[in-house]
Formats: sequence, C-alpha cells, structure tokens
Amino acid sequence: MQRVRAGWPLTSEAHHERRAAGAGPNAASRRPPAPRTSPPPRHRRASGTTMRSAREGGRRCERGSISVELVVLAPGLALLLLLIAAGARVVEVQGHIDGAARDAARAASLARSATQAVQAAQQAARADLGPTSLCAPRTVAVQVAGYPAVPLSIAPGAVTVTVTCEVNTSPFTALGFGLSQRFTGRAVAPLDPFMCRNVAC
Amino acid sequence: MLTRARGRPRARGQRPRARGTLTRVRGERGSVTVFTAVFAIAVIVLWALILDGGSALNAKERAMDIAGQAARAAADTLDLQVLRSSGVAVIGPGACAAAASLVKSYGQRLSNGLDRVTSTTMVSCTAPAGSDRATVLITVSARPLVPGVLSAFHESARASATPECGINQGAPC
Repeated sequence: MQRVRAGWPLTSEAHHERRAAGAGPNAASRRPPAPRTSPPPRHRRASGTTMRSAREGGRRCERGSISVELVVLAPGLALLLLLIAAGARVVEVQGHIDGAARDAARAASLARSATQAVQAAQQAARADLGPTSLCAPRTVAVQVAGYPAVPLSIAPGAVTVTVTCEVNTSPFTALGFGLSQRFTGRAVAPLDPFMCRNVAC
Repeated sequence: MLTRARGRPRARGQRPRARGTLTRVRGERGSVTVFTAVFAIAVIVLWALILDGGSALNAKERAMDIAGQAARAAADTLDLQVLRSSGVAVIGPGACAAAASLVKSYGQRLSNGLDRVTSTTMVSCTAPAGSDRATVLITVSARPLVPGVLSAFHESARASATPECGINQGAPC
C-alpha cells in the first residue's frame, strides 16, 4: 500500500509536467507507458490544448498544484545544491593551503638564515597559491616561527610555517558566508642540526 | 502550504478505493513533499561525502607529510662518534625520540580550522642505531564535519628517510 502510494504520484506528476509544458505534437507518444487507470478519452484529448479545460469537472482544478509547490520549494532546493558547491570549495581550498604550508615549511627548513627562511617560505607558498588557486591574489600571508636566530647546538628544532589567504565566497552569501573567508594552513618541518646557519658557510 | 495540503482530511468514511480517479487526484497532493524529502536527504548525504571525503583526503596528505618530516627528524639524529671516526652518516640513539617529539609538536600546531583532527599518533618508528634508514608510521584521526553520515576516519601513512652528507653543497662528510 505504502509503495503504491509513494510511486503513483510520480507517474502522474510526470504526466502533468508534460502537459503543462505544452508538450507539442509528440506529446501523445511520450505518454506514460502503462498508466494504472487509463484516463478517459475526453481527458486524453485535452492533452496539448491549453488550460481551457481546467474548469471541466472538479478533479481538474488541482492541475498545476505540483508546479506551484515546486516553485515554492525551488529556492530551498537550490540552496541545498549551493551547499554542495560551498563544501567542495572549502575542502579544496583547505587542501591547497595545507600543501602550500608544507612546501613553505620544507623550503624554510633548508634556508641558511632566518631572513632567507622567510623569503624561501614566501616564495614557495606564493608559487603554490598562484593564479590557478582559489586564493585571492595578494592576500597570501606567510608567517615563519621557530627558525633559530643563533646557530643551533645539537638539539632537535623545527620550523613552523603558517599560511593564510582570503578566498572569495561571494557566491555563497545566501548560506551565511561572508564575501570572503580567511583560510589557514600550518605545517612543521624539522631543522637539520648539522647544517651551518647564520654564519658564512 | 504543504502542511495544509497534506493535512486536509480525506472525505470522511471514504477509504481510498482501488486506484480510482478520485484516489489519483488525491494522490498527487504532497508528491512534491516526498520528492523534496528524498532530494534533500540525497543532497545532504552527497554534501557529507564531499566535505568528509575531501577532509579525509586532506588528512591523508597531512599524515604523509607528518610521517615524512618525522622520518627526517629521526634521520637527522646522527651517531657522532661513527661520523667522526669513519666519516659515515648513520642513525644514532634517540632517533625515534626525535621523531616522536616532532610528531607531538606538529599535532599541537595543526590548524584547528576546518578539519577536526582529533589525534596525531606515531604508531611505529623503526630507526635502529647504526642503520641508515628511519621509517615512521603515522595515523591521523579526524571526526567528520557533517555529523551522522560518515563515521570518524583514521588515515595512516608511512615514510622513511636516510641521512646523507652534503645534500645542499655536495660536500663529503
């Protein structure tokens, strides 16, 4: 019983959609293959004509109610689809910026001085988050922490690089996003304790 | 509008008969509601798959990076006596401690923004003193962003590193 009731409206909905669209000459050939109750001939003749027949008989006055319901619900459905797009963008940007932070941390850990570490990290991050990424241009900021200012003794050290950028989220303002959103990626790379730093090597 | 259409009672005493035209017209009511419910559930499941599947991929990459850096930290721990006596770079004692300390500090500094990483653990570390290869296995656990669709995921990655002399300059030890 339940199954029949759930399945039936879809058939009749498809039927009505075709008629509402003014289906044209081949409407008859696209009629549902096996309607459970074959409509009366008068009903069938009406297909392809306008809503002139809407006043005939009480059961026709509901024609178009599905369209109205759909029109009311369409914004909600569109928002749901927008949600998917927003999620995809968020995840993709996070992956990009994490990768940029990793590359920047590795580049910084190979540098010979703190200044060079910052330069190398910025260069690596900007190369990753170039024009093909979703980060807005000139919003990429790189912060390097943990690079020693003095030559390392033999003690394990690590450099931490934080990369941030602004991503345009203006298509998703309907979902509560701002015009742009800041994303952060962070990575750590170990410093080689045997590399000479901050001195002329 | 929907609730009204749905809540409107059937004519009293009339049970739906065997698929008569009356039932058919009444059956149309709320069909969009059914469609919307099914569609919404499908979209939310898709959304969870995209968000959490993507986060799982990101967590996998992160696990690979943590494993690589931890293996590097282990391989940086050289045996100085062997190095000074024979000029060969081999892993010394305490390599796995260095790797564990790097994993710990990496876990503390992880961006706590999007992916909800719950733990970063070093499952195993193989860096025997005197060898030239350190291997680290890392597991990153994260909980899903969309609750109730996917369960928490655990991404593992293994990486190894080897100490070499003069990587930057090509100089001997």
